Amino acid sequence: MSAFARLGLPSTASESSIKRAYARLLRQTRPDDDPEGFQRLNEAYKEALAHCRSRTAESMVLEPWQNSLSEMDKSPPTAETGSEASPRLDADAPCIDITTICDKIIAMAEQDDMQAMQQWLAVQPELWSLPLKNSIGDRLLDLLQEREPPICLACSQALLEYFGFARVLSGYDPMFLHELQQRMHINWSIESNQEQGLADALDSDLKNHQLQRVLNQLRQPLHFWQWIPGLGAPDANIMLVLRGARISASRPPASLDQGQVAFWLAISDMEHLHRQHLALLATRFTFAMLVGLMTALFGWWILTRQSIANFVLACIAIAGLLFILWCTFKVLAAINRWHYCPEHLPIIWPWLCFGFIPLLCAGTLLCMALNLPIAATFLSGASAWLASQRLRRGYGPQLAYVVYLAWWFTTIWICFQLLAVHPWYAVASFMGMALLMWILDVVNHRHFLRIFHGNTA
Amino acid sequence: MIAGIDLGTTHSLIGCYTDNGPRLFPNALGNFLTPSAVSIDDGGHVVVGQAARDRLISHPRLSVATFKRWMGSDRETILGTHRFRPEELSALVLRSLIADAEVALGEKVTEAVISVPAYFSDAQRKATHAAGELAGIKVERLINEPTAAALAYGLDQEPNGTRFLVLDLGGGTFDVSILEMFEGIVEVHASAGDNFLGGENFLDILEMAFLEDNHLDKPGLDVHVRAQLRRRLEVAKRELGTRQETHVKQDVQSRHIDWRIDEPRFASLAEPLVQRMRVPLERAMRDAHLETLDLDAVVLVGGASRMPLVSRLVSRMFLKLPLRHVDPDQGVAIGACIAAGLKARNQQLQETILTDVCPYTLGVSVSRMSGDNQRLDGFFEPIIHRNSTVPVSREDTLHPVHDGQKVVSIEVYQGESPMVGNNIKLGEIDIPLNPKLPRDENAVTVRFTYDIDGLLQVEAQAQATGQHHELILEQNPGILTPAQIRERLARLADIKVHPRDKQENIALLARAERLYEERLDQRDTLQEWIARFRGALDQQDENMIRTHRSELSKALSSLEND
Repeated sequence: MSAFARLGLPSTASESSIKRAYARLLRQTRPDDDPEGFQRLNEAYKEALAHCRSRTAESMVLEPWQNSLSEMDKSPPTAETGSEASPRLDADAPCIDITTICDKIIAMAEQDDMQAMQQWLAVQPELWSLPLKNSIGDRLLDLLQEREPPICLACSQALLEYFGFARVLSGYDPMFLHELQQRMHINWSIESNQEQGLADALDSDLKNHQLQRVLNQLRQPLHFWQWIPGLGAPDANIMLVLRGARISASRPPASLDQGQVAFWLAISDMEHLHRQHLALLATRFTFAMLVGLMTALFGWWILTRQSIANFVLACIAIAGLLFILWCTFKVLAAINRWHYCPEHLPIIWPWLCFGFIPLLCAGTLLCMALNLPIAATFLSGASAWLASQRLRRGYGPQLAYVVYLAWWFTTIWICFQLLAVHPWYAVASFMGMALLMWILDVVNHRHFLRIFHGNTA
Repeated sequence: MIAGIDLGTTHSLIGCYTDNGPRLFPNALGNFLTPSAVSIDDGGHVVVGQAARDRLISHPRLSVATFKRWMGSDRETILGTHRFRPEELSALVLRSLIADAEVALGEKVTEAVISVPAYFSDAQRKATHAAGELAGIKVERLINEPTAAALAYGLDQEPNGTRFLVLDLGGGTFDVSILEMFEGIVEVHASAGDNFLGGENFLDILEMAFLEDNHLDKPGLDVHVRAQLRRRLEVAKRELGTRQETHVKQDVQSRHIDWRIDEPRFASLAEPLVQRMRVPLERAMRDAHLETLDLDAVVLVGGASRMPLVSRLVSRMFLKLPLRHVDPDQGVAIGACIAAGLKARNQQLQETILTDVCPYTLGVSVSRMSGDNQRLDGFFEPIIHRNSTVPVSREDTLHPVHDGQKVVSIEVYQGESPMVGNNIKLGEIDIPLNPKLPRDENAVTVRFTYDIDGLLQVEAQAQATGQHHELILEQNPGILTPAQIRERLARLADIKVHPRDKQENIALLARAERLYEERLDQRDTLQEWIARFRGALDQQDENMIRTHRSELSKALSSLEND
């Protein structure tokens, strides 16, 4: 008991003797003269008090809160308050059933009208009493945790706010509260009995069955083999579109709220989106082409008895082609998503850049093959710029700037040197730089499709 | 001599601690309460106090009030050819108060203890400090208003084991503090508040109801009419404290309106504000770990706490009648005087020690892992918990997110929301790390020190490199740097102020001009009176001015009362 020792007391000291000792010592270490000494003294005092209180609490028989409450009720409210202002509790039932009140609150919250709920909460006489409000709040949190079906985000936030949980140091882990709210909200959005409400809220002219299809898709986890057309569910076309624009591959999107559902609906709306048909057709076509190409390659190797080196080269070329197609698909999906949800841009942006760099390099190669030096220079420059932008974000702001400028100066200098030999060398060096930086960036951010802020943990 | 100053949203007071206890000083007009209003007159002189409040009606574009609400921001007010920041306007009020104190004391006032709302932020506290410097005094301490009010209340009480709650509803701010007195120690257990809730909000609600009932819209109103209307509604609001119903008579757009309002209607209009008041009250009780039965008393201070709905709220929540032992308008000022006495180590207060708390949580922004291993940014990690006894210094260790991270950015926030997005950002600092180390060995120690005046200092140290960094929290648009303060001090010195013995005449003239603005039926008479009084002032004969002054004053009073 070092706290008691610091106050110069035995560990059995009473609350009043702790206070007396603290007052005596405080006159020697005043807060404005000796801040550090005061902090130590104050901490010892609080620790000793807390210890002393928990000891008394243990030794005392705890009166149920109902008793204290009914006692309060008996003491008549003062004249000034007036009868309507006092918390009127039912005299016949001195025990207030917390669960009943909680059920009433949840029933109110289920109507998804936050303002009506807040007004209702403000006039509940039971909630004016602080100890009762605290116990109701704790019980309500337990109920919300087990709650099926969940309630909407606005209402759950308002409830947490009202019962004082929506702030730090409330005694609950902020992560727990955050996840509770998210779970409530996400499940609310995709809960099957909320579908009609969701369709109304979205106010779409989309047919209800389409909403259902999309929701079914979103509720299922996505496995990698479903990427291959033909192996997916009967609703493969919706799935393909949905999958194509989805970032995380193995579970439902983390923030599947009303806005998200609206987005997925819009993107899967076949009647309005011929582009989707085209995208689907294009993927099927390319897939067929690829299968054909690989068969042809294998046949060619068997028939002509080429060397193994030629086969490896051909494989690399095909892998490159595949990769470029994949990037095209990613970029198209990103642009598509951007088109429908401009506010998703921050999520899409790194992904767009990621896909664009290899595409620009491929474009450069194509231009070189077609002997278009100006276009090739432009494309390689653009890819290098984009890649350097991407790479830069991994460093601190000042350092990145210096590195960035130095890099550009040396690159341009090298290019001028190479230009004298042959223009293609300059273009190729730009392209090489871009690819190098792109790879560095991917290695730096191993989960390259997600963005992390270099923040404290 | 250390003065105690209550720098309020609507009124300010000054006093000091004498051997006979706290003593307040009257202003040039003989009142303890000096309205916190500033105006510029035709000669470019600055007018402060009652005259400036009257000029709000007659010259609304040259006058300003309630600037305390803008403290800590860089909002500038244009009065005539001058531009003022809220600190400068407060400094002008402080100067006028100090002049009153110097006359009463016969000695120079160089230091002061100024009261601030408990829930004032770091920037707002620094702005108050700057206002003191601009007024030419050293601010020895900033004391929280409810704590000051509690000192005023508590020192008369039983010395042992009293726990009470002070509810301070002022013109612009609402504060709650829970205190305990024992063995001469005044210990604050918890403070909470709302910086944008006060008597002015109740006035806004009345104004809205008035406009709605009479089918008027606010932007269409003339500035003069609006200023008059607000003054009349203010009177009505005060009347509703003692009467069941009252009338507001106002001419708007050549329409004579007689509007009736009763107490129940006002109470129902104000219900949303009452609900807002519940929040800090509940927070303070939770943080103090007290039950309603543990409280010995609830004390009301602040002018707006006179409204019956405040005592009804207290009765409903705490099941006891509130106390109004001290004058609600003077409580904070008397407490500030006692705090000044404490600071000066007055013999009388030898045995009294005050311990206060930090009313809000201070911390940094962090990322957290969710249950399904997703990283989420923007969580608030508290370092100094709200209601820790001050002065307090605490440290915490932070780790970077990745292995080989080169920099961590430490963002300092103040607030209570678990997400930093809803809190106030105070500043940030980038700490370079050794990128070769894994994240577990690359920790940063952050130390927060919160001093007795409520000013925060943040230091950080990278454990691997041993480098020490200090965060400067002054780069906020609402905070003046020492150089800016010196520059503004020079500018303020050029502004002319009327000599103190002329202030009574100026206040009387301002009052007559306000009545001229308000009383359409008496304009000719008032014009004549004003002309006659101006003529007397021009003669510069002290005796004649005195007779004219008392005559005019009587005439105006009878006009106002009829």
